[in-house]
Amino acid sequence: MDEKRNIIRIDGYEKVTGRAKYCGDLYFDRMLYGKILRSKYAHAKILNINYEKALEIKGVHGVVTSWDVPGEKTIGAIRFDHFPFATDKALYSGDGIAAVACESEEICDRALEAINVEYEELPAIFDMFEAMKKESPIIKEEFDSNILTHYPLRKGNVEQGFKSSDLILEREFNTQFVEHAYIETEAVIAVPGEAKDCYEIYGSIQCPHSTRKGVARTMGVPLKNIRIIQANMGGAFGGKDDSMTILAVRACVLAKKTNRPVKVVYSREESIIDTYKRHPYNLKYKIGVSKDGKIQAMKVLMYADSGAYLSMTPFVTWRSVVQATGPYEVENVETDIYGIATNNPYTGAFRGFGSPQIIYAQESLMDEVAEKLGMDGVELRRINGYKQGSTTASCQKLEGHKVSLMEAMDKVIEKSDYFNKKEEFKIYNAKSERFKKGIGLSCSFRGCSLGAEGTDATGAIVSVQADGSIYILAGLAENGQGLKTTFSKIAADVFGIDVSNCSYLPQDTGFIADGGPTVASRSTLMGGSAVKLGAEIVRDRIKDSVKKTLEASSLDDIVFENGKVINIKNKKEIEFKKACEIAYFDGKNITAYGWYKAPDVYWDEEIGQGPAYFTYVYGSQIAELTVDTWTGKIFVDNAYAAHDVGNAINYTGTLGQIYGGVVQGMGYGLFEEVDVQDGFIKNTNLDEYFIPTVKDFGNIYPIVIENPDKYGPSGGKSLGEPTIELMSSAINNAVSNAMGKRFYKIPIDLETIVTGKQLKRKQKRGSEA
Amino acid sequence: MIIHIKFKVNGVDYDIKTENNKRLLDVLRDDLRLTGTKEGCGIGECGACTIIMDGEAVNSCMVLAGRANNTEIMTVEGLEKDGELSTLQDNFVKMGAVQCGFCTPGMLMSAKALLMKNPDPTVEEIKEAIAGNLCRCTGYTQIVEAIKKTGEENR
Amino acid sequence: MKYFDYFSFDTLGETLEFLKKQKHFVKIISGGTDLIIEFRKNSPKLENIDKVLDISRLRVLKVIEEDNDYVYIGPSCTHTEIVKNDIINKYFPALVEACLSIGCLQTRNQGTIGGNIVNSSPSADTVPALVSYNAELELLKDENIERIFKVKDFIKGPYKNELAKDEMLYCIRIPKDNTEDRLHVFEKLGRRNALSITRISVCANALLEDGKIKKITIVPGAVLPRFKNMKIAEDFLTGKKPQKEVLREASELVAKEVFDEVGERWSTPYKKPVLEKMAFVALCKMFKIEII
Repeated sequence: MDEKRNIIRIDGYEKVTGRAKYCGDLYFDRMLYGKILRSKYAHAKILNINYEKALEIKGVHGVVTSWDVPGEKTIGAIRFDHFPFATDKALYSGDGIAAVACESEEICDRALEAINVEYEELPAIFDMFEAMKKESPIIKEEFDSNILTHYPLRKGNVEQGFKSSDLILEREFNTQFVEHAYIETEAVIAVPGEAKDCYEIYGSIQCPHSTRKGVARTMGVPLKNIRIIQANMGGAFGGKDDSMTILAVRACVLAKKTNRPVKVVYSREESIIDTYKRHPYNLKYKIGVSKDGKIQAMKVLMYADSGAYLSMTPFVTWRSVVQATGPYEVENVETDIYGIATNNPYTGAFRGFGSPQIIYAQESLMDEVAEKLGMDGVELRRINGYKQGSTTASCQKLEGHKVSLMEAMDKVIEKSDYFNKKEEFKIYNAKSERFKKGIGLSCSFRGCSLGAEGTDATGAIVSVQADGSIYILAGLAENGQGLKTTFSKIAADVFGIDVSNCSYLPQDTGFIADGGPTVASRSTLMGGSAVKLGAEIVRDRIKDSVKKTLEASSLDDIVFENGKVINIKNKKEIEFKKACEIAYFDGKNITAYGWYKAPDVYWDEEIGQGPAYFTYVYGSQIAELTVDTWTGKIFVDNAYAAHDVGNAINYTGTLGQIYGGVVQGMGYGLFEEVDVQDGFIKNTNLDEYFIPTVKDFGNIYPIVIENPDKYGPSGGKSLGEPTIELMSSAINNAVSNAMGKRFYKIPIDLETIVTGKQLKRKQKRGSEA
Repeated sequence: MIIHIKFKVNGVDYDIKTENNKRLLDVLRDDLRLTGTKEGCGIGECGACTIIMDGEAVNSCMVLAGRANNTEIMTVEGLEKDGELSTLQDNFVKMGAVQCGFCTPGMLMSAKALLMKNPDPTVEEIKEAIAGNLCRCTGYTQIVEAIKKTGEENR
Repeated sequence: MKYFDYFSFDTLGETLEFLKKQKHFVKIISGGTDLIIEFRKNSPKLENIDKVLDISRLRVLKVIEEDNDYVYIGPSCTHTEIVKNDIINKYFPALVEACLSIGCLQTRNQGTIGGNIVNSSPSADTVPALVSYNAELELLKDENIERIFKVKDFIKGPYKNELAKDEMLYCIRIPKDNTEDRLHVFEKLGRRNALSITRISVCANALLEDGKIKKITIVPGAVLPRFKNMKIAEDFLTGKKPQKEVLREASELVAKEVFDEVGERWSTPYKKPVLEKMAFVALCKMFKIEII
């Protein structure tokens, strides 16, 4: 690694000493513990809740239900359809019915057992296609159908396109429910404030401002009455957004009822049962190509299981529509995606956000098309892949940034020695009965930030102290990804000082404006830009103050470098510290608010056309693996990942994002599936939900590509999500390369390799007989 | 039922009375307020609660309070000496081995237990030692590198 | 967590005395790695249990020693202690492999061989190895009354065994016959390479004479409700030269014997062919026949 580009993580010290407080590590005076009672059925009417007996237990201080929610009963990021406490009906097995606040978690358990809920079980629907049938009952009354969302995209004329094709291939793919499996489970402490009807909420909350909206709405108080203070986050990956709003509401209602701080920490089982998953997709692709490999038309029909609530389904599926045809020029496109309500656990945001599913399908398809045409998948991708000035399916011309798809592909191919390996493996496989080796590639483009989903702006405060040290506070949150370090580096670079001079303040909705959610790999791009703007405002004020001292004739002559402020004309210089002191005694405000609003984007929902995102990133990954055809076990020996990050501001962190994303992608392709049977999750802890361990893969080779983007701070753009979206298709292609047959469903588990299909156990959890 | 436990944690003698059906993890976190040790699964499958007990890495969520009697325990809080990070901690910070940090205390204790016995381990030995510590952020690579480098510096 | 009272004594005598006085089953723990999971789930298996007896302080249960006939392993020995022990490595390498394959280092440091046996899970990793070595268990009632069981007879089915409520596992003893020249193997498959519940395992050992198999023992794990030798395959192999095709045929017999007994289940289309392959891999490995 390039030592010079290594930055020390600014919150590293507290995290390696155990000093970093996560929400579960906080204790308050007179604090109670809370626990949630969840539905016994996947779909049921709630006739009566009797908790008299629970209240008689010593140490029980309060029981609450929907009746105790003082404001609106619902929350929702897009539509208000989600009840933190089931009101009238439970729609899935994780729905909260009641909550208790007690002196200990053990007492909570006993109190929950003492609550008697009378249900009337309702017919439940667990299958998307069943849900779409006309005769099926409507699960969510506020919608007029079980089809919650539909996004179309129309370009050209697909029928014409298929007519001019020499090869038409139709394939169906399926993906699974996936759990975020952050190592820290969800936790919140709601503390009644001193002022009337005010609450402070501490928590493992990914998007504090979103949570504040939900809590204020349900508590029936103005936004200003709710302060969300983010504790250190033990990972989120998209999973601690609306799920945390729901938990915060539950804790807050308990805090109101008992007038005491209430802490709720989900057990791993509760975490898996209660919160949203990655959407399972059913994807039907039809593709037409000419003999020379030019794609003529693509028709894509997709269904996403939204589960019992809408959550982020509209935005997730919208991204799928924008990117469904992959990074390829296609003249004729017809894409439709439907988000369907079922009584399954609900689905929402998860790193990748609607892209891992489509890339798995469409990149697997590309290899199969190439195979049928007798060419390598790489060749097919070169023919059709985006180049500078290419046009997307929604007729957006890719310009204003470097379209680096080919660069990413070339680099990953070179690093992995792709073509030679293919030949080597052919020889190896011919000799080997048991083990088969394969190599597979995948590539993608990805729109950065929110795109036409919604308002895209964010802010940051950069506060320089008289001694040259700096506080930073931004509207976006540190979830573990290294945002604090990256933002500090951006500010430090503006002032020409070392990152260690910066401190990052805890995120608190009371101190910083709502800058949108920490999602969509938008932090560096959006938040980083805000930090940079804020720092530049302060820098210019300092320049103004030191102009005299440095005898500068123009502010443009003053530069900030290596801890010094220098007049480049006369070489006069002072320490940065001294400059700050001068500005401070000059009465300058050396604290500033930077605010960054994204360039305009647009989407026509009727025909699915428009410039969806203001810039894009490109990436390509390769998996090189060994299949034990006798046991079905797959081991990724080497993975290669090339990503254009614009500028790797935090180089160490950039590598970390790639390593982590690639391994999550391996889990997605090989091990992970939330086993939902009749609406109930069977694998509710990490002994049965398998995320990769350190022994489950070989080496990962990151390749960092840097084509600075004009919209990003120092050219930096998105990385977090692109890293996870490619591995499952690279693996699928490598398995096909190894075995000479193709699979259409993930995860590609042991049973799939040996028997050709996944085998489902229908029994209670505990034994893997 | 209240039980009486005498043990040493990070070099400090403790003599406490606590509930017998607590786990060592609860004793450390709730009774001693050493909250560096984390709970991730409660069933010994994630390693977030790893501590060193009489020289061996164990999951403290799997240890009953009573079993800790007369033992010597080391937690993440015991790694820093006189305000200075140990080489292992320092390498974790410098080499990107920390992201969200929630698996970090357990990861550090598994690494520490390994290095106590095997000061300069191979990559394979490192992987074996931390195979019981799940990390969802880092893809493990920089963690292995940080432990490896610590070993090399021990040479 | 379920509520329980906790007891721990310094001597074996006091421990047995306490057991004798109990009206209900007491949960005896040493490592405790299985029990805490059950308590956490409020498992029905623990329905009438409100007392936990911790025997980890009894040094006498942590000893590994040998005489002319047997190697004696104290049930409180952790998997790590077994892995590191010279005697076990010398005579019973498949048991070492089995211990090494368990979950993760933390679990091996804490979990004990006695616990693995008494928990009697069909996927217990040490049990196929112990059965293949024909290990026996000494159960103690009071300091004189002792019952002896072969491990394979002790476990009656999934999580069921012969242990009486006033009894405790005192010692695991493994006969040392032919230990010098034996070949050994333990082969295991899990979905992951660590932290994995065993899908299938195969443990075997054999003695060759003039290039022919004089004696062979094959015990699969995680496929049967209780552990047993693959008699049909063992008989088939006895007297034959361990050649690839012979071993292949024997492996088919292993899979047949198992699935004739358990019948068709959700996992059979996978487990049957894979058990056969695993048996083949294990046998080839043991007889040092290369397969790729």
